[in-house]
Amino acid sequence: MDRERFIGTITARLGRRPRAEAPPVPRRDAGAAAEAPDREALVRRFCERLAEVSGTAVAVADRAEAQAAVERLAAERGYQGLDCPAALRWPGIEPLCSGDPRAADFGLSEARRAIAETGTVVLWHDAAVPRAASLVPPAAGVFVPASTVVPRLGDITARLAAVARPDLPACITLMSGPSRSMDIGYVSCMGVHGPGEVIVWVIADE
Amino acid sequence: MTANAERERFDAQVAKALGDRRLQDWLEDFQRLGQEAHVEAMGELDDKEAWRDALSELRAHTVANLDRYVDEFTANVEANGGRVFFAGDAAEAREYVLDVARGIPTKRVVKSKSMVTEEIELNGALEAAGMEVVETDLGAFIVQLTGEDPYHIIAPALHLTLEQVRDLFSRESGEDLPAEPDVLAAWARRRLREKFMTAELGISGGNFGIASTGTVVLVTNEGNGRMSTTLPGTHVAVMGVERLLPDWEGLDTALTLLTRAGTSQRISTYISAISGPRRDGDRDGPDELHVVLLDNGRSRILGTKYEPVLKCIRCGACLDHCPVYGCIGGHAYSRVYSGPIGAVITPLLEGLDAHAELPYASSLCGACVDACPARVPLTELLLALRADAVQSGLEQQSWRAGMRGYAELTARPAVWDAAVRVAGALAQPLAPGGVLRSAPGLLDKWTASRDLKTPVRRSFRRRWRESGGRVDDGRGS
Repeated sequence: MDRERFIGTITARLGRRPRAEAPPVPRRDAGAAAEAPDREALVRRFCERLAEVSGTAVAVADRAEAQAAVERLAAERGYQGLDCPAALRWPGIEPLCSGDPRAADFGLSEARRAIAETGTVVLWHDAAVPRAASLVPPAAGVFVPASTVVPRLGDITARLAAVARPDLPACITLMSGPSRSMDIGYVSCMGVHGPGEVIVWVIADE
Repeated sequence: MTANAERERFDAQVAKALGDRRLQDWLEDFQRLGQEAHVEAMGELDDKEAWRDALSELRAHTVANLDRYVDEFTANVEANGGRVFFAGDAAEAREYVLDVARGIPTKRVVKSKSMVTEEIELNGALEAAGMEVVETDLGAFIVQLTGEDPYHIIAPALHLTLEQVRDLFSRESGEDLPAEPDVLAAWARRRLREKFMTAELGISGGNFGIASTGTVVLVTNEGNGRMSTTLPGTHVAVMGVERLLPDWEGLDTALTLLTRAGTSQRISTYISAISGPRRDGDRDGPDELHVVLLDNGRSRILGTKYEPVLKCIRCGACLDHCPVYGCIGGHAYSRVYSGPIGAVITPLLEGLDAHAELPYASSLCGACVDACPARVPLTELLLALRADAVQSGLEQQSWRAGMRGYAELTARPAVWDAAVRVAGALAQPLAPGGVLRSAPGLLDKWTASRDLKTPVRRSFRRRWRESGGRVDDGRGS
């Protein structure tokens, strides 16, 4: 069906003339703004909430500490391949970086923000943050700067509302812990399609 | 399906569910667990009633201005590099998706669970064209293997036990799999991983469409939504035209209540916000994005007393709270949408004449209305549908006869008193537990589909008269 007819049918059913613009969108009355929690409290809450959905959050002092943690994990577990996009590589893991998520034991991503209330990381999938790194390997790691943790989902959507359409990436993922399902006998199990393990390093000085 | 065949199918499915002791126990447990979790998840919100008001107003506003938002959404999807197709009905939607699939060309399709693609019977059309169609949500995968319809709008395989899934997967794999969810899920992961890697086309629904930026929002827990929209070269999202939101601020309200009301989660594991196909320089993501906006009877509802049903965000909370769903189960309703929302939306989309039994599959207790995050007035809509059924002469004949008899009785106090006295005396030996499951005479029309509480020995009117209008304890002197 063509666009004019499709939309015209809707207008006709609504029983009014076509409008150039919709009236103002009703907004939720958020009440008095709560005092913003400090960064430490937000990071603490983020870590607790991620643990509640079976993810692991690790607070680290700086990026070097986070990188050392990835190297240690790779050595302990004998990882053969890491899916680290070019922007996230460093000499200590370079030899393991295959760039092929299908063959990787572990994928690493950089999150743009995190949400304390839900233990969520916000992945902005542009060239530097491919989608598969946090999706296809059996375990996923994420670096996120402590300064980017916000209290709740509404703080993210408010920021996204201010982004002009052409500046949005093709995909944004909000990821909260490992892949899960209750579809077999109503019992929770992990790692059904996405990674069964999610580790987030929250970097204090960024 | 003809009205009679629908009616017989409904009766047969109700009888099947009621006769299955295990299923009855399970549905009771499932609803109790679901309701407890719902209270906890909704109770965490600072003021849940204010949130529900906000969602109700937001959705009502969107529906009342749907023409504007479809226009804006379309312009932005196109500006993002995607294509929008306007499907007036199911056949148009199927044809378009088939054209896209043939054009690739496609051997294998991976699907992320979508009720709207069930509504348009898409899988059969793709299979008839020689393509393999693989449902990848674990629950949808299970019912695809058993050949059943979804049992619940967000938990398609809710009715099957762990052991039944074990038997099913063992048969499929040719292995002797244990009744352990993790092992069974791991087998499904391996099987489906291979499909994801080789599929040319990924098909999803759309939980929401954000008009201001042309963004399709998908909500999943397993990651099948992400896989289906990341690995294949082409992504088709099929959504009901009413599932739009004005902007990102609205997404906060809608998403917060969708996951808390539907699965009692603070948020689902994955929310994907898709704005067009992959951009230059992106390593992954589909090269093409098609969004199919489906009318299929929805615009007919606009401007009528049924318009508030279009506020629904398909969270499934009304199913989890409905005592009738808890008895008759998900397969009694039509093929696609079950529970109170199914009892309302199916007759509206497919015609009341074909589904006249559905508005009666409710006790009108209102538990669904209390649970609904968008404040859809489900009981009012069910009553309106019943009124329409009566106007059109579609209600059950026994119902009409019973109502006429009841009207006669209540108009004649002396006859009423006599009838109540006789019924009270006669009923006691027939109903030792206080409940009549099979009544004699004309009343068997009532007990064919409902239990009847045993009439009391002394009616209220008699007690009132004898006590001189004072309240006694009902046991008499």
